[in-house]
Amino acid sequence: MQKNTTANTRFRTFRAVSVLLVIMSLFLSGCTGRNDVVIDVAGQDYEFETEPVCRSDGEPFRLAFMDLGPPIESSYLCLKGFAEGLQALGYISEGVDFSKAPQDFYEYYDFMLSQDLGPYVSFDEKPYMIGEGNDDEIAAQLSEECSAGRLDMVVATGTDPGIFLKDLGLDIPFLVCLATDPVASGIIDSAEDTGDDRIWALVEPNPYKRQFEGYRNMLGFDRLCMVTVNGMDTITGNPLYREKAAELGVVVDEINFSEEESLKDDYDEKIEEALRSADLSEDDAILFAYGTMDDENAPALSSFAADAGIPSLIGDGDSISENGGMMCLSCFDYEGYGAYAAMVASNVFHGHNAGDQPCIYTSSPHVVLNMTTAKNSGFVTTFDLLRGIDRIYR
Amino acid sequence: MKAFLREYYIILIITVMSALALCALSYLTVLDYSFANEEQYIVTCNESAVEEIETSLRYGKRLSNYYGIRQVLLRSRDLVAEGGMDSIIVIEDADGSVIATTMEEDHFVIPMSDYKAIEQEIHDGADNTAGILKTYYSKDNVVSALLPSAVRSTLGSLGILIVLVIVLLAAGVRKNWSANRVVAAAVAAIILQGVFLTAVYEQEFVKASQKSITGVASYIGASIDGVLEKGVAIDEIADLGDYLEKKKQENDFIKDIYIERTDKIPEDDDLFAVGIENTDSSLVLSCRIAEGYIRKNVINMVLMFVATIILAVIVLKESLTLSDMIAFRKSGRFGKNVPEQFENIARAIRYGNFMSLTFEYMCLSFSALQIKEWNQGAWGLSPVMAAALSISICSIADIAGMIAMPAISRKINGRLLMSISAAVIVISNISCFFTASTAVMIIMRFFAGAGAAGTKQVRNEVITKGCSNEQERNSNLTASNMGVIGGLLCGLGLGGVVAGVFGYQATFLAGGIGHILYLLFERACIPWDMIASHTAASGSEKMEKNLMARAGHIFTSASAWRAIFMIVVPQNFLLMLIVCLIPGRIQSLELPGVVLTYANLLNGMTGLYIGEILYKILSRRIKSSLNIQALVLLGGAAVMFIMDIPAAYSLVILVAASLAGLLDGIGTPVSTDLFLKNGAIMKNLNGTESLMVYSVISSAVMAAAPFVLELCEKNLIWMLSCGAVLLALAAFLFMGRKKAA
Repeated sequence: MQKNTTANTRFRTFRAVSVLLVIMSLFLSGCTGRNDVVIDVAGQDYEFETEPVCRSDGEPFRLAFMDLGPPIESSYLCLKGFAEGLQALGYISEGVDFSKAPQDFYEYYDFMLSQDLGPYVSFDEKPYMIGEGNDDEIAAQLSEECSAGRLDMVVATGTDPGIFLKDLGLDIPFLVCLATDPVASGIIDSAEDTGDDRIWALVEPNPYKRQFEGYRNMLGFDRLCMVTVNGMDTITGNPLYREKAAELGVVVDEINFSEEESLKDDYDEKIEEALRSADLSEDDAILFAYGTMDDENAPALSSFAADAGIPSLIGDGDSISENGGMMCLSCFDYEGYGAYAAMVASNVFHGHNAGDQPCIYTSSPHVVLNMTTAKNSGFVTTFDLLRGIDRIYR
Repeated sequence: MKAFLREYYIILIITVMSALALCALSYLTVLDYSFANEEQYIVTCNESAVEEIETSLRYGKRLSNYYGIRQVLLRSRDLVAEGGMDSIIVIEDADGSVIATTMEEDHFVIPMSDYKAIEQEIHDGADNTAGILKTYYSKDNVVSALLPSAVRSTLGSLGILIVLVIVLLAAGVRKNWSANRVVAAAVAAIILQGVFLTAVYEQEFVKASQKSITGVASYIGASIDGVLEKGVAIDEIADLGDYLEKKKQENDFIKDIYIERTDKIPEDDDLFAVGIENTDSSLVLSCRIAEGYIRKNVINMVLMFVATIILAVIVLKESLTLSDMIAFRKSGRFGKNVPEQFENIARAIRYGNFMSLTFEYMCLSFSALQIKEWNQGAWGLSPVMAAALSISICSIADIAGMIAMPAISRKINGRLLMSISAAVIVISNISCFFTASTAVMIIMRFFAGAGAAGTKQVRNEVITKGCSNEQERNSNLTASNMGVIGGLLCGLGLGGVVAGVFGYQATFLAGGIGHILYLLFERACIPWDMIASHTAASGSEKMEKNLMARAGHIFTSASAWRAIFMIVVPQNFLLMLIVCLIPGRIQSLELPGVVLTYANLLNGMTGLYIGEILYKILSRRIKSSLNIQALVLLGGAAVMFIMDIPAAYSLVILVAASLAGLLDGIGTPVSTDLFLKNGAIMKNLNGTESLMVYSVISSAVMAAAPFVLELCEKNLIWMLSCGAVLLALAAFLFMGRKKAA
């Protein structure tokens, strides 16, 4: 009897253990490969279809480029960014060596035309430049090209070309990859909804505030002299500079001119005179906002600042730095705009509406430095700073 | 010859395993060094990508709309490739979502058997972590470069082993060598192998450094060229010297880096020069290799060899009794109530514990590391929390299991309980080896903890039932403690080697196989029938029911409280010195990792060998166990007082670790004995139950002690206060003994 009880206990124990072992073994069935990392690209806010495609008839997409003449450096950079962006996506043959292309808008365009771009895209024979001659002729020519089906898309740089194209009402999509404020100028309704399936325009968020903060990070100033001109606030961004200065606790000594003063012949002398009479001893830098320092007065104004040991910072325009302004940090990455427009173009080539594409693009900073002025100002050029600078002028 | 082999085959097997471990260790050390160098190179190459991305983020860009970021990653990948390394670069945002990669595909798998990963944080303007740049680089390049040396070292090691076997067969058999002489010959062979491996791999350290320094010099040269290309004169770079110094600091293999004007680069194996192209003069960037860094790594490898050899000697020494135990098992006296049987039970307890603890500790900490490597949480827990849970759940299951085991052991006999417990551990470990799921890993660690509780219950039964008098029970307790110390020491050491060679999960496979061996050993060498008959004969088993009530009853006794708080608690607190205080101290003093290895080694060795001898001497000379325990607490106070001596840090740490080992070797059997002899405990619990309660209290103290020791490590007042408390307890024990006398 006792033996039977022991045997039963043992049997029950074995049964319980067997169940336990079976449950544990079941976990083994869930085993998969070990030590592998699975990568799933979640992507970014918006995904682009980057696989190159031809037109449905097998022909390359025909593109036109439009700008306000005469082209300035930003036009060239946008064109360059757009062409090289298309190449990075595979729309332009890898064999085209853009590093050999000249650094001039027209010459760059001609270089493109001289190359075998491959089966996906081709460019119209000449860029369309409004403001230089008869714009009506350009309008007629574009309309004719479109109705004949010889043109698939127009890429424009500048506010005026954007408005021009919108007014023209072409059937084909157009991309405005450079306009100071495409919403305020009426090219698009808003960054979220362009208001027209055919129109896309790039919107740069808060470029002036980011520029001001960028200068602050780079130079670490606490007190700044700011030379400004009233009016044209959309282009100059002066109210936004002031707002950002207040946010960062930077004291601003402002030298301000009216729009009328800025149009007079003695404007350059007046700026210089105002600077001479101002007490700049406490200022760590001078920011020449849009409409104050230009290619002509840059040598004199920057020399004055350099002699006082003060860095001269520029609102916008690489060429002003080339002519003497110590530094231009721009949050308008023109080349990046072109590259981004290339991605938008790819989506349009894949059959998406231009108006549905994301308009907001935040630039990486573009910085140029005039080394001669920097040295004269006593500005310390560190290795990290120089590495981050896109171009050095002397 | 057959008799000789039969007697010493265990030693030969362990020698072969030690030789394999040395081969693996040397290869791993050089491999690690090569990987570390490659990683420093990758970090340097990724510097420009990280800077570019961070600059953009500072100016308001976000990773989620950083279109074209893939181009930045591709440039970095191309830079890394210039150093001859294939890589996949991935950028994730702060939430771990993959933003972009250098691969064309949006979904792919990176086999970590072929790749290693290095992470660099990306910060935004507010210095918050905005994302992580992960570079998965192919191991193939490094591994194939080391292959010739690995083959050479394996063949050389094999040759040394063959010579050893020939010597043993020729001289050992003919002259009938003793076990000590055979062990000496085996150790000599392993030392010879260590010397040979050092000679083979030394050149690999140099080659790895040369390769990395070439890559870094090219990168820095190209960076400077990039700046000069913009039209900057070299003397216009204000802080070039600081930049070069920073690069030197980032790359340990660089002793010196400078730019010089020279027409002729000197012929020097330790000097790597790269021409600066965009200048009108002959400027050269020169990098000098850090011989000291290489030497330090070679010394480190040699020290690791020595540590491994010591571990091998411990395993050999512990295993020397195995042949005797097997021989006794085959004799007719096995399972009889004869003095040799009880001696063999003590031996079997020691060796069984040694095996069990070795294989338990071999994989104990690697579940957490594996979960962290998977970066996979479970049940809503983050990976870090899940990793911590995988460790603590094992302890929880262990404690809960120990409480439940007496009830279970009333139902089934010791042999069956041991078999089931070992089988549960084996299956848990093998599941941990196969699984890729954090949840499964945690559940299996729970079962492993429960299994460990079962083996402890059986061990306690064997200790208390496998003796015919108190002296034999004390021998069993001492043997058990020695097995634990040896197992801890070897388990942690061997686990590191197995994890390093085969990955973290392989430690579970090794642990599982080890527990199968343990199961075979225990079933064969423990006289289960005799222990069962002792259990049946002992009257104490009659009061087995209401264990919790009886265990609770002991806490109504003041003498039981005294035993717990003046003996058991401080003793177990002292055991944690080597686990928490000493590693923390080494870390805060930034001492090399090898100091920790040697601290563990010395702790184990002094506890295992000197502690045992001292315990015997003290037991003979000092009649009162309370006085011995008081001495142990005095020693503990001394450790706390010397830890903060502001000189010869490594030496102080090593002395403290050795002293802590002695306190373990002497104090644990004494405190266990004092606890078991306590009147209130004897009255309410049988021997096995008393040991169970002791184990539960020990586990609780060991769970709480890290918090106190962390405070001690951070704050001198806590350290000195703990020392003072130990001192006071020692005085109380001493006075209590006099009063009792």
